[in-house]
Amino acid sequence: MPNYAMVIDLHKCAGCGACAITCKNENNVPEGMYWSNYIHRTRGKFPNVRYEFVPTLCNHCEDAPCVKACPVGAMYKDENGLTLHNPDKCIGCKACVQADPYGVIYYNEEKPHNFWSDKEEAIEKGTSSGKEVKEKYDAPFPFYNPDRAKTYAGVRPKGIVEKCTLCDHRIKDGDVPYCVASCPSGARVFGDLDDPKSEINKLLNKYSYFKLGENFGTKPKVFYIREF
Amino acid sequence: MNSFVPWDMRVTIDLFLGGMGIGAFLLALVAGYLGEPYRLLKKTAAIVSPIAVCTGLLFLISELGRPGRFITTLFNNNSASVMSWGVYLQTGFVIFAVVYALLILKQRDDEGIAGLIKWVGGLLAVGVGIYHGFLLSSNVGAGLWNNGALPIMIFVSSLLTGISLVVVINAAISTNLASSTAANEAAAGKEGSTLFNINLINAVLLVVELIAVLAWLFTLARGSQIMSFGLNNLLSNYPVQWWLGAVVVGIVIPLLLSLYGLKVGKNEQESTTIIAAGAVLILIGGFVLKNVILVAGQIKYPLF
Ligand code: SF4
Ligand code: SF4
Repeated sequence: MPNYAMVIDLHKCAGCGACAITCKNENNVPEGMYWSNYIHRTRGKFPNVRYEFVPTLCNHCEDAPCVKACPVGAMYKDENGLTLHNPDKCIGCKACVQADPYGVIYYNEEKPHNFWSDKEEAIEKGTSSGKEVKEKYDAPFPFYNPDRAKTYAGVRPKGIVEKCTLCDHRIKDGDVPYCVASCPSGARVFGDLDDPKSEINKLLNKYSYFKLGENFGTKPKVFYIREF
Repeated sequence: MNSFVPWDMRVTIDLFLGGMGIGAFLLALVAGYLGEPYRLLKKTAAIVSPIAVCTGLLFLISELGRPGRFITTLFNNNSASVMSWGVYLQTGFVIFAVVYALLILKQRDDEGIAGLIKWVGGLLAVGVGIYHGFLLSSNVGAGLWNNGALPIMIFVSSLLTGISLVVVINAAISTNLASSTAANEAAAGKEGSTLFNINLINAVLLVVELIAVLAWLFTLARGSQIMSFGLNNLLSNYPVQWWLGAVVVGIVIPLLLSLYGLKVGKNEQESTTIIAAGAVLILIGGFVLKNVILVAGQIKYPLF
């Protein structure tokens, strides 16, 4: 069985944020939530300044505290080393949100994609309301991706959490996660940690790496190479 | 990083009411050994206990995103999840506490299976009391919670608030002052009885609580970056709630009051006032302590 992981090359990353946006498209991620995200900071004072940009996502931790915390086993590790979530079991207790030190689990406090149920027009009688637009489509909302529903809820309902699945619906068909596919500079590399010949193992043996929050003891599986 | 605060005040209310409930139950067990003068105290404590725990659980269930699914927690379990342990501990406790309260109401709490009910109920009460702290301390990213002193602090606070709740209710319901807990205490003091003394119990528990608080603060102050980040957030953003509410009102003043009460124990009127005042302060401080720890503890440690 593979043990999927990701390597992110910080020297290649251009800081464009494409991964964060395309992920929302692929996974029908509601407003305000970013399964794929980034943290950034500017350090130093002119003329000695440095801008640092680190793309983030669920680390699919080997020792995942979110999985330990879930009282009903809705958050679980699958046989491919992914941390996945079962929306039918989830009771919305948010114990996983509390336990995950990386802040990558999101809670649906409101009905997601609410804009498309809204009857209000931006310009009265001038523009269409979200609801009107949606009614022209045979989908929960205009840019809905039906592929997502192959392995997870297409849209996760109100009252439960949601998180990155490393695009399990794509990798089961031999494809790479969409953030990897959409990165214009090839900074994100996806692969099997247990396969010594995989591209990620080549990179991990060539360069030194760090992982976020290693002191949490969660054994994260997103590796950052070529630090600034 | 997502800065959403997952748990709101309903979780504090559950920790507070649930804590009072198990504290009251344990008080009922202790009072049960002391015979007739403490019958009213025992009865109040035993009845209040399941009511408090169940009310707390209702708040907790209403905090779920899918309250209707709460029943699934009984069969979809996870042996690694502290919350899952809590489901079984609390369900078990409520059942035993209700049976015990019924036995007391029927005046049959000294016969037959009552002994077993008391023992199992008592163990479950301790389990629930410890579970409350473990629920918080099991979170690796929460510097304020992730250490061993916190569950002790929460547990002792639960005992103190449980006793205080019963004292306050008892004082309120007994129109005849002579039968109220506080007056009983004073009477017991007069007769030179040292058997049972709320001032003494409170003093001991408050000292233990103070030591746990100090151990907790010291561990965090000298601990990892994650811990000092958590502590710093508490002390700089919630100083009044923590120092004044939780420490001074909830621990220091009640401790001084109970020590003074021990000294003047033979003066009925004074002792009554002291116990009642202390109980009210302990209840206020206990709520503030649990709430401020819950609120301040939910900040995420910055990764970068
Ligand atoms: S990064 Fe967070 S959500 Fe992902 S596996 Fe680790 S603890 Fe769970
Ligand atoms: S919110 Fe859902 S997935 Fe998260 S711990 Fe609770 S039941 Fe499990």
